[in-house]
Amino acid sequence: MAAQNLSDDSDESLMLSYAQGKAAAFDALYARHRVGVYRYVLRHCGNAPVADEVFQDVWTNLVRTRATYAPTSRFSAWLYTLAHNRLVDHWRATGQVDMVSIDGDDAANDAVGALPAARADEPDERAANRNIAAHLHAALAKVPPLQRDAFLLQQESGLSLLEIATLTGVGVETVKSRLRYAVAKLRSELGALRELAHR
Amino acid sequence: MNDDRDLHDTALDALLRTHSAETPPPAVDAAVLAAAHRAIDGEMRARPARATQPWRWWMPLAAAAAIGVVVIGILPMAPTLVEPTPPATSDAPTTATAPPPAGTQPIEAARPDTQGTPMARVPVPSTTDRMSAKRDAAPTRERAESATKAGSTPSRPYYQMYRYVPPEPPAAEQDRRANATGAVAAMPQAAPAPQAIRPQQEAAARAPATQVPQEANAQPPRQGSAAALTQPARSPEVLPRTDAMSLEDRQKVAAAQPRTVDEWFALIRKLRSENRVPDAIRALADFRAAFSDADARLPEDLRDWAKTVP
Repeated sequence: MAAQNLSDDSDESLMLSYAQGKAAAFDALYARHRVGVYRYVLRHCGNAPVADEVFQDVWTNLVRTRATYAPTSRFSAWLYTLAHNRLVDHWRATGQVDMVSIDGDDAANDAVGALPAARADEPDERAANRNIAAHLHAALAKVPPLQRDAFLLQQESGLSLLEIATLTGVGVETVKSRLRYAVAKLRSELGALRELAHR
Repeated sequence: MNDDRDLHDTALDALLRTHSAETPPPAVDAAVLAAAHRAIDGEMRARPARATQPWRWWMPLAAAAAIGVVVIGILPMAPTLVEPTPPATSDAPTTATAPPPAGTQPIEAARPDTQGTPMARVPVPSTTDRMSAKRDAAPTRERAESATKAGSTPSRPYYQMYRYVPPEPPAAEQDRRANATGAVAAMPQAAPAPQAIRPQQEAAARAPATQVPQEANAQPPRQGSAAALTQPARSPEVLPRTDAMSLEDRQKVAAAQPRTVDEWFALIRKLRSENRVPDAIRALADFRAAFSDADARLPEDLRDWAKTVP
């Protein structure tokens, strides 16, 4: 009965309950967001052990800062902000931060136009199914971190453009530019896979 | 429209959803959940730990409140310090030659207040005073003996400690009293109203009945209202005080004392016939104090005897 009530509660009320000492509320929150956060972290890191560590740090930070949580915005925005900040720390620690960002639409269009054409190799369906995850990770790894971050936030967290902009500390147009560039890059990298997905 | 196509790629979204099977390892799940529960448990454990801390901010306030309660509750029960007063008057026969102790002033039964009403000014002891007096009353003799041995003034009952000491009368009055009273004047006066209130009483007798003073109304007159007003007002508080007399005894004595001239005469005759000369002398003194023309009112049989009494 209590679990049923918790599953009906919103993320924000669950987080407030947990901050007030209700441990079961955290279980419900974790069950809702563990997969999205993990994929967001894993696709950024590309390395499962590192992703596990970062993922655990994200939730540890949430536990530690539970008393400061205020439901001024969606809980998922706050949660992915914690994840984003932890990833930034990770990038700084590993020297992976590429501060070059293509923010202007024209520049983004130029960059997309300069991408190479889709590869002509067409793996058979079985091989594609077997290696598709590896291709996805490889394609995402080729996207610059900031564009990839915007793309993954859109894919995994379900945040709006404005929320992503707030989370990353840039304007909405910048977020759009990053998304446009990331989608174009992935299209070019995953051209064949996209065809498989269409079938 | 173009923006949406550029920002979203449905094929790409489907590809990611279809082939995304990554989930956190069970060990990581367990570690995260354990950390979350551990934090809550630690917080719950810290709360009762804080509650059992030996020092609290309210402890000084509680101590102050306890001290206040004790002081408020105990202080009224403590004996009140009273200035030693001279021995009280007594109905017991005293030697005529014994002078009053130094500084002793006879108790004035009543004195006119601002409204001309004879009022008994002897304060009635409060409950606290009675309590302390009750404590003092039992071992009075022992205390007196020990105090006498120590050369100090023995303690007295409360009704002696709270005697009203009127202000000094005018010099003319003192001279008149010194001349009028000899050995009798040395005796403690009982209770009748002083001469000083006579004019006010007479004025009150001339006044309408509605202006009768409250204390006169408090004790209904036994005779006519005008005659009653000429009588000195009496109350239990102004009665003669002795060491052994209680308030009820003094009330009885007050009821037995004469209020009219004839009653005074009857009392004096009775005392003389019973050979209670000192009492008769005191009654004559009281009669003189109550009536300014007392000697003129005396009958023949008492007038001769009264001439022998200064």
